Amino acid sequence: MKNSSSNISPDEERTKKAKKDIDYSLFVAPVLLIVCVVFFTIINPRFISLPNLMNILRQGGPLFIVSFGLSAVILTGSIDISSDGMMSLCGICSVMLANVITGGGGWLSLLLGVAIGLVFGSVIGYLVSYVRLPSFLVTYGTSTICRGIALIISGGVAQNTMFAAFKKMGNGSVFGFFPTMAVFAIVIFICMHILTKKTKYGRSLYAIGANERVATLCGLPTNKYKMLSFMIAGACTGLAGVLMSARLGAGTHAQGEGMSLDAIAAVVMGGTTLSGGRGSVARCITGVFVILMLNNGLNLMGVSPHVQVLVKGIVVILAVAASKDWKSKEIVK
Amino acid sequence: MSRRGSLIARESETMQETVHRQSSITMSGIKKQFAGVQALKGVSLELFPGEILALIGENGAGKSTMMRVLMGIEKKDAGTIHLNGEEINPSTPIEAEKYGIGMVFQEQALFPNLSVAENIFLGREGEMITGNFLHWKEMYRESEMILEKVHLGHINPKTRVEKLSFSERQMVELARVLYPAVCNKRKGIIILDEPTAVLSPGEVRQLFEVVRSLREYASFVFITHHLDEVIEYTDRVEVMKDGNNVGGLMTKDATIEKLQEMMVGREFSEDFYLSEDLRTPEDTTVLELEGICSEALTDVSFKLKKGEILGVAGLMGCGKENLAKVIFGDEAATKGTITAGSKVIRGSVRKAVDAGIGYMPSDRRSEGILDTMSVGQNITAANLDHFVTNGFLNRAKEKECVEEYIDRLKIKTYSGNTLIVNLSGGNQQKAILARWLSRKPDIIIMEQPTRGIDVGAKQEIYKIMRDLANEGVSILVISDEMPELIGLSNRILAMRKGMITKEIDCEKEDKPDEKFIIQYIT
Repeated sequence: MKNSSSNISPDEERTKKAKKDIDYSLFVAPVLLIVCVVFFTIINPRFISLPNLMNILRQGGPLFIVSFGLSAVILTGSIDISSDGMMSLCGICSVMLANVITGGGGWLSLLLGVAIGLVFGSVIGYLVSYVRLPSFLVTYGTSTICRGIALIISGGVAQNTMFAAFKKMGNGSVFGFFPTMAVFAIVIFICMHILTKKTKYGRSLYAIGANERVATLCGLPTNKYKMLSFMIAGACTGLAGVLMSARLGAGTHAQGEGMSLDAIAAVVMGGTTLSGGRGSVARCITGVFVILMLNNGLNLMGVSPHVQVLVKGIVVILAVAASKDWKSKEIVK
Repeated sequence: MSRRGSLIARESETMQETVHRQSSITMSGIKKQFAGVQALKGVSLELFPGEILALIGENGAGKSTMMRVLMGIEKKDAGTIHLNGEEINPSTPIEAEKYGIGMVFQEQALFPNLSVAENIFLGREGEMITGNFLHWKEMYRESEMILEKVHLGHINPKTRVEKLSFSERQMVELARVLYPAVCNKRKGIIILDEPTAVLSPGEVRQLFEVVRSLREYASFVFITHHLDEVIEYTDRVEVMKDGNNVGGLMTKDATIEKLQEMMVGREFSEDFYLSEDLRTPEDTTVLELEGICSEALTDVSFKLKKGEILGVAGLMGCGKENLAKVIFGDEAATKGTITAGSKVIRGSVRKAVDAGIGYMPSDRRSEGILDTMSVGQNITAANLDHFVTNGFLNRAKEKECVEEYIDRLKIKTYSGNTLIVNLSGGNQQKAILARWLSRKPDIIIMEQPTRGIDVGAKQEIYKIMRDLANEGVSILVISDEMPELIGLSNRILAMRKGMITKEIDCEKEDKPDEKFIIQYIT
């Protein structure tokens, strides 16, 4: 320890305070997760079975991927609610391509979906970072535009595909039991974790979220990095859209519905603050699990889907209330 | 001193004699603990009617805590408060207001989007209601009356506060806390928490003219770091240190040196600013401005030499802050060239940083620290490229650098991973300095380098600055504290209305006095 010689009482106190700097919001999602697991298992032991868990992973892949991408945006203090429409568009486009070109084992379709997400992400990023429009409305508009395009090109009809290699990306397995979907999610997680924790870009995200003005005065390329975050989020949404279509074997204009807000809820429940600068990609894993298990468990219980929506809303509010730093006097709007 | 000034001085003398020594507020044995820190260890304080009491002490001495207890913002652990002999226990500021106690906060607490009258009556609308509706006419009439008392009679109470100047806003705040005392015809107690921190000397004088004219309505507790103001404007001084009373004395018996000595409990070295170590800079120019014009600046030209400390003096609004931001590329210049080393750098922060310039802003909270991040991350934020190997941050290398600077600048922190908000102001300031030093800069622009930090930390910062200059780093210091500028600098640029009015030589043997500089900035 430094300066032990000059330790006077106020500093010792600061030291103690620093040691006590535990962020209790970190524990909320895990505790909630355990409660969910125990509760649903008691009601229906099948909940904890391997096939069901793998099923959760398969269904939840897109939400994981969207949440990981979204974390990069939320860490800077911006928001992205474009996933709803964008996922649908990317899914439909990839399915339509898969029906025309079957070369490349479905990977071409996947690339197309990701590319579309990337393009829209770049547009959002440009408008938010350089034109300085508020991210909430820009991403809302983008979502609506994407859904509009999706409706136009699909004619409002679900686009089915019989292309097996493409469908396998969404519902295939490795080693016979582990869903391919989860492999995609894990790869994205590792990339995002490294990107946010081990690179200059990642560190800058936290700095921008903490105080964008200070980050600029430190000579960091804040605009470029903010744009990059939206591009990453867009690409992740594109990938998620494609994988969802692959799992369903179809692309529809409504397939991304509710995805943005579920992802935001998952990220915030995990302890990443909407004001930015605090949290991590890893943290949103537990948040996503809470949402997934809630969906799955309520299904197993036979709760009506209409009631499920209600329950999910209540849990999200409770979780956010629990993960709030009650001591902080920060003003929330 | 002007005739008016001497008149005021005479008034205050007679005041001191005629005040009867029956105190209006007596706080005794006040104790307060915060999460294990004994912030107040049994402090006593008396305030006599119509008196202006200065409460001084280093940061962390407990002055503000003491006043927050009086205001009912903090709950005291022990001790008593008596108002005119009667025990009171205010538990909220609203309750304190009922006893006539009010506070003008350090950071302004007005709503800029509301009118002057609305601000004055905010939370007190109850008195202005007929039926269920606000009685606007009466509110404006009362506002005019109270504004008159703080010499703001020329201001329309319907004006929105955002249209007022900073010092006018402060007067409005004063009017706001004064109002209950005036309309209830009982003496108020008004606490002024560092009201002069951002005022120019002229505005400070105005403020105290107002305060003195209000003696019949209230007595004042004036918290400050500026000892010259204490000597000039107050009746009595109470000194606090580490949550204890050090002692009190009548202002007429006090000198700055004596007060400083009481505050820190040790004799000041004769040379606070280490002027002895001031060296003549080398003859190479590291920064040159030629004919720089911007919104706030007109035709500014000067040269900064290697290893030189160049001070910039001027009143608020003279453009000295803009000068720093223009050099650092944060504000646009419309004309002229800035050359750092051999590079022309006008226009972007990036270019300025790459040319070896560092910038310590005066507003630590909004432009200095990254508040959700650790001390270490704050230190390395401007120098991340240095730690990137093969595209990834090299944590070990980063940690090494952080530890080096924590050690070198004696930043008091448990470790580099501690959140920066847990550090005291002085140590935060050092961390921001470390941020730039770790880049091995040629030039550092320091804006108000010691604002809001305690005397001990101040001297440490002076020492660091002196060492840097002697290692060949050039420093541009922009400060409101004239003695600091005179003590530290090789040269001083005096600024007025966006122009440099005089270049003043300030070498060791030939230090100018304040009066000499003031003639060029006012």
